[in-house]
Amino acid sequence: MSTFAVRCNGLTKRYGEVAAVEGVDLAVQPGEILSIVGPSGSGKTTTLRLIAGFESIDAGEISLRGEVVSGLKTHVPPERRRVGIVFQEHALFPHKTVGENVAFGLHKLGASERSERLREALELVRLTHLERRYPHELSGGEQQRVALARALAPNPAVLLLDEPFSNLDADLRARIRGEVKSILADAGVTVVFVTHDQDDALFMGDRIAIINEGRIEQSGTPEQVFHEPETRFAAGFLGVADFLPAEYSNGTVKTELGSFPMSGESSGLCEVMTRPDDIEVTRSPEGSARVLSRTFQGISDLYVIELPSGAVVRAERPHHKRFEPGDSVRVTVAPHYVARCFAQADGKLMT
Amino acid sequence: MVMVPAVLVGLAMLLPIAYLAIRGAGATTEAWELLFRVRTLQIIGRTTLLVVVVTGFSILLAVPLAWLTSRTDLPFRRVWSVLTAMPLVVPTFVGAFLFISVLGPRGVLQQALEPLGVDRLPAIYGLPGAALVLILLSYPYILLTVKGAFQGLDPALEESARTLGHGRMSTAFRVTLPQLRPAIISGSLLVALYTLSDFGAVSLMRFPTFTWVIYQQYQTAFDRSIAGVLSLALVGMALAIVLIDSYTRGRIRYHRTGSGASRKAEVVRLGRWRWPALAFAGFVVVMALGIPAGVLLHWLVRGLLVGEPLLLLWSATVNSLVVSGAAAFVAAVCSIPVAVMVVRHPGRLSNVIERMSFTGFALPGIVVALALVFFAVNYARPVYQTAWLLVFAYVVLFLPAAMGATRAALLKVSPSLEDAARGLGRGPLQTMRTVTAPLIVPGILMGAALVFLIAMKELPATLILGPLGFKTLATAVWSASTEAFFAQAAAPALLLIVISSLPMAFLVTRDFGESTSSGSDYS
Repeated sequence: MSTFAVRCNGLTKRYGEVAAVEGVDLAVQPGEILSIVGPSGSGKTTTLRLIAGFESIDAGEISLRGEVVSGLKTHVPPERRRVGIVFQEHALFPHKTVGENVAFGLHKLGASERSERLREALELVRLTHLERRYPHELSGGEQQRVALARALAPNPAVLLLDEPFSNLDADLRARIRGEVKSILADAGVTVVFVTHDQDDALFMGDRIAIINEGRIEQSGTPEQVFHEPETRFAAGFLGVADFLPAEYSNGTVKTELGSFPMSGESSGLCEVMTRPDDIEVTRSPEGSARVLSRTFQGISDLYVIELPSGAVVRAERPHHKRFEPGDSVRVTVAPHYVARCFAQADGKLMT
Repeated sequence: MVMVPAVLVGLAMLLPIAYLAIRGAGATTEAWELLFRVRTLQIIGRTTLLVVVVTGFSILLAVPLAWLTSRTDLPFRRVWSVLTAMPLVVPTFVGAFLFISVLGPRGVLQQALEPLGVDRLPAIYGLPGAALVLILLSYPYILLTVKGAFQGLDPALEESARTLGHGRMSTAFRVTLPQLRPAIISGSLLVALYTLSDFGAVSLMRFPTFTWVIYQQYQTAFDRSIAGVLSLALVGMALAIVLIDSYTRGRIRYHRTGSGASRKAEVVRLGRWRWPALAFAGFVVVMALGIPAGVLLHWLVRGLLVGEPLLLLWSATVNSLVVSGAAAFVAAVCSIPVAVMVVRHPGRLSNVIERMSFTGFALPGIVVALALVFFAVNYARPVYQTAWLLVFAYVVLFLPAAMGATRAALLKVSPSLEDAARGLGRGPLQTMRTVTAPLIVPGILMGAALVFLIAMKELPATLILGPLGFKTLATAVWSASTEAFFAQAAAPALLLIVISSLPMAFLVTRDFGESTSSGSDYS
């Protein structure tokens, strides 16, 4: 129980009538990186701010290293929580040098220990040579690393990252993401990382929590949440997914692409998820489906195909098997396909 | 195309100070000797003391008020926000005469205390009176710049400091205050220059600083070059203040290193501290607004009861409106070529022109007025003793205000907008008329309103350059109060405040609209 670095139970925060976060449960193991991913306005940043202690909670409990920091009666102020935070804008103090920024959280240490920790932190992010520069004299990537060093220097119980890559353009982003991940691994720190970008979330996270409208939809390893989504939202949010209308009864689910045996006993109207690599396409003059468009992707092509009912699926095919818009085709599912079926009423996985 | 008018405007702005320098070089030896006499040192000392005292106390009032009205849950915060900025519309000569009539040895306060056996109050003339009036009427310059800085402050900076183990106090002193420093400095620069060039308060409070001594010299001495040399010394002090300001800015840059939307900062809950906070804000507002307004009404009623003639008031009002309006119009028009040059054709020449057009910012009104008197007497007789010369002086003095607004408006029009219009088949003039002009006109009007507001309150240049018998509201108030005819001064003073508040209301509501529309970006 007390082994969790961060634990949130039933975390709730309301602004007036609106619940920004409602009943959020999270648990992060020491040294683990948890990615919280969701669309804007989903409550992910609020969750982060609650953990940091910038806002008070309305219900639930937060504990860091087993010690309750936010509860109904307790609110430990941010400066006594030992959390480090890196903002999207880096928030470096413009009137202080790189060295002064990084040493800012070491004010309670003696002089020799302080300079030792400053040196270590700068070495960790490989910026020792820039110690005397001011933030505006640095590139975006360097500012990012200073912000990391500053947050890591006081040896925080948990490091919070708030959309740290969303200011960077695509090229830089991929490189810096890799750098940050290796720095975090070297530091061995527990991390809660918040983003709206699924690529960032999948790349950085040991585990992913998908948040929507203030609630956690699903959490698990990247593989779990990607391949075994538990809600329709989670399925649609990560990666490309199409949903076909279906009916679940007597242990089978009937769709336009065929019937699939199911292990559960549910029944009712639902939707079945397909991903582009689940769909196979064969040329057939009698085929009842029609190619609407083709998007060139280099190694493969992405096709949008209309089924007889009017439903649309996307299929990814190797570049040497080429179809053109207007072609009549036959659509089947790949042998490895396992149907995942979400109730039309509440979007929950049917079993 | 804009270069010629821009250069002409720049040169015209430089005329007074250049001419004064030339004249100074040719001044009589007696005049130069006078500058190094003990008496001059005393004037420098008094002036410096006044500037330091006023600026220091203004900071002490303005910074806490700025924090209370922008970051806390002070009850009726919006009301306080407006009230604390309002003293800006009260000219110093009005404030001075009102305070004299209340706190003077036999003023309203003494009369109220008479039954208690108080038959005389200590004199408020001199440094205490002048400083009191200038502090209460000029602290809003710092208040407004600091509030602007509070709005631009990235709350993530303070939050970072908190997570790095610094409490509220430590964060305030190590992170927030250093971020506010440039705003405090530039507000202080305004207050210091305002104090240095003030004539109304020091003349009525009989505190002989530069402006008051120069005026007396000009009125009484036979050798006018003494006033000229003293003016040069005053310009030297203004220059020193500007230099100190740019020196203190130093190497450190104070802007947000990132870009993108900023969040609103958390509102500080005052709890039981809200009572002392309310008392503090209330005290400042009562002193700077309540007492002046109350006393003004008192004198107004007294004046009406004894039947003060209002005829004079009418012509003074018309004079004020006409010269200030003309100055606002000319300044706005002159600001356009200079702003276009500076924004669209940056380079060394634009830089020089910009500097030249900003000379009025540091020049005290009395200096510009004297220089123009000398110049007109020698080279431009026909305009001497006409309102044209007065309007020119206003334009030199207040063009910087118009420039600021026009330049800001122009900066918002990206050149690609104009390029887009050209690409859609509009010629340069059509583009100007259909795209650029509609976008910048509101900004230019704002600048004109600002010039109008300041010109209405201008005193020394009006006294010196106004044609014989030419009265404005400002000079009417001043001449009545120098003779202690307070009831006579009340009506023009009230009119002056009301008229100059109108553009102020326009500016404030505009500002308010902008800040609320951009204030909702909390995510």
